Amino acid sequence: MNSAAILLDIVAVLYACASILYLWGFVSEAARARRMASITALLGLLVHGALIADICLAKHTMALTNLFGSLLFVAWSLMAIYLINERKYRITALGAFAAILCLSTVGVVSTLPNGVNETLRPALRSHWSVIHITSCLLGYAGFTLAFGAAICYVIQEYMLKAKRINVIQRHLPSLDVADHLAYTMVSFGFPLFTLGIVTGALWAQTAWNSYWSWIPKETWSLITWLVYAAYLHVRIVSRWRGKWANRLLIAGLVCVVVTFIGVNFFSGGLHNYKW
Amino acid sequence: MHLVVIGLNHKTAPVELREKLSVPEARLPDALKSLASREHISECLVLSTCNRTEIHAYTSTKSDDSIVIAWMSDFFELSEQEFRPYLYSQSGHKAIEHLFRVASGIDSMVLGEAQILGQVKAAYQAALGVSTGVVLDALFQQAINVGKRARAETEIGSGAFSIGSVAAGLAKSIFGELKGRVVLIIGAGKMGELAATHLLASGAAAVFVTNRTHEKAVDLAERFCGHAVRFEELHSALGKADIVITSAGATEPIITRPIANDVMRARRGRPLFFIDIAVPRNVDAAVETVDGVFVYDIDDLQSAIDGHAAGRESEVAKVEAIIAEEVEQFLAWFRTLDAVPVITALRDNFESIRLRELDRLNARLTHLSPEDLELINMTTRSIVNKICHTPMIRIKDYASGDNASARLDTICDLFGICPVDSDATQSTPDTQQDNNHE
Repeated sequence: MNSAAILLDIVAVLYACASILYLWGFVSEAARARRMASITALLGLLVHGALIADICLAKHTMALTNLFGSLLFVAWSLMAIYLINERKYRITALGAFAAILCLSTVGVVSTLPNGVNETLRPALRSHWSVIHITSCLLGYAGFTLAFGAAICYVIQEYMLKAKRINVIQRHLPSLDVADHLAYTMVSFGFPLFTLGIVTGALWAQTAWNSYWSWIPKETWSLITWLVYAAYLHVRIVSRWRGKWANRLLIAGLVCVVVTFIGVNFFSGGLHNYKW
Repeated sequence: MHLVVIGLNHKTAPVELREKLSVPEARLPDALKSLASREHISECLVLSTCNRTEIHAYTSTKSDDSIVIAWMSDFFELSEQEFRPYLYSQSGHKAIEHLFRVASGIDSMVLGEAQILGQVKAAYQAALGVSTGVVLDALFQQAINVGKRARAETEIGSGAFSIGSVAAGLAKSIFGELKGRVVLIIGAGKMGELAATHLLASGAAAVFVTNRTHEKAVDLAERFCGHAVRFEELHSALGKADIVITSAGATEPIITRPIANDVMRARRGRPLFFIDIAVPRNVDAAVETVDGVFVYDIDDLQSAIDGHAAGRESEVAKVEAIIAEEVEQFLAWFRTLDAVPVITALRDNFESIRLRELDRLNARLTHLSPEDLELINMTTRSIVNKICHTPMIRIKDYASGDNASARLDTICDLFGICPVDSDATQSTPDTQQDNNHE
């Protein structure tokens, strides 16, 4: 058993504990559970960071070039962004969402191969690669949290309309907070994702002499980009918010998942992760 | 020495009187100094909020309210008859319990409200070092702790126990912070006013009031430092408001679906919250179907409270259990204070005997060297210390146990000593509940 496998197990256990504590804090009035959840999640994040560093050191390169590394990095960014915002917003529901998502990701990752001696394909070696991949993945993390916040918005709205006033309703973020949080997350993710697409095009130019070749990954990136651009447009220019803006974010995540992982299943091409 | 509390609150006195007897922050230092300078008052503290004015004191007379009442009469420039019937007074462990109840919010108008704990802290800070000493310092530090415990260990602080607080809680679920939110009150009913009070207490900013009779709207607006809006301008006022409280006595709904649709188009998805307290309702049932509009009528609010009602009783009981525990703890410490003068007197007694005998001995042992005399001195001191050791511990135990005053008296009698502070041995806090006139 190598160090990465041990760290992966520790991360999984910590995120599992954090998930349980967040859920407990969410459905009950136990304020202590919420505090413990934050601490556990933070510990998880630290070990998770160590795990990524460990893999990078072992490979002498960025760990993000296969699905194993990418998923780990997205999950890590997601938890980091969540914990940065937790203090400000007190959002147990989103904590449960983030912790469970991270736990599932770690679970999925542990079934994936991660060849330590994997050599990068020549096409993937470029200065642009680091910026392209990192910013795309950070963008995904931001969009995923925006999705979580939008889900909170939709549920809170439903409960208020249906007049189900209970513990869960009270522990969901308020409409205003959820809406604002989703907007903040998209404002964070969108510029990074844009940067990712631009650097991707530049990288494609240096590697294959073509900025854009309409492969499925690129097409779906564009669709995703348009969805979030549309959201920001209605939010900023028309100042429209609320129900439909948040439903757009939920739809947006479908595009993110297709772009990030989905296209690999139904097409080959240059972006196919090496399994 | 005795702990007493004398005061009046929203339950015992009308608001006009409470206003007259409230101590503004600027006058608080004067109040504390003048009260502390009164005879028999060794420590004191004034807690003055919009719902209560209370004087907590540690006095050397046997629970005599007249000193404090005389001071109140002088300080507030009122005759005693004007306010005396509205006062409550407690002493001993009841005074401690009273303070702990206040700090934990179960004596408040809005059960479990958080403001009072801050006010208790502020009152203590103002008095700290000015008019407090060992006893009130310990008492208030513990009271603040009780307030924190009550809110941390029970649900008392989560609110949602009245129409107003439920409405405020719902508003928070929609708008997050209520800071800067605009409240519009339609109709000048009492209930609407009460709900608005809660929203304002939670931080809502501007208030518009509109009523068919404009004068009534102006009246109510003045009370909330808001603006009165003519009833004809209701539509534009709706566009500005975030929370609308309706309590108008109208037979037909004032807010209909077309109006709500119109308003919401302009709001661009920003939610609008109607609290409809009127019966029959002022907001048409169809309004609810508009996106972003939340309508809660009196029944909805009531059922939200009922969801909590079961909790309410048990939460108060839990807080009371905490208070009982803390009162015991404080009393255990407080009673040991009674032991201090007895212990001092006993020690002084033994020490004087020792010195007297030693002097006599020294006169007869002139042939001894100073070293030898010092040795004798040390030995006698050590003998006295050893003799005193067990009795000291026992006296402290007695002081915090049952039948303390009788046992302490016996000790004094046995050794023929008379503690300097004679009051201390005559009463412990729980033997002085007879002077309450509530």
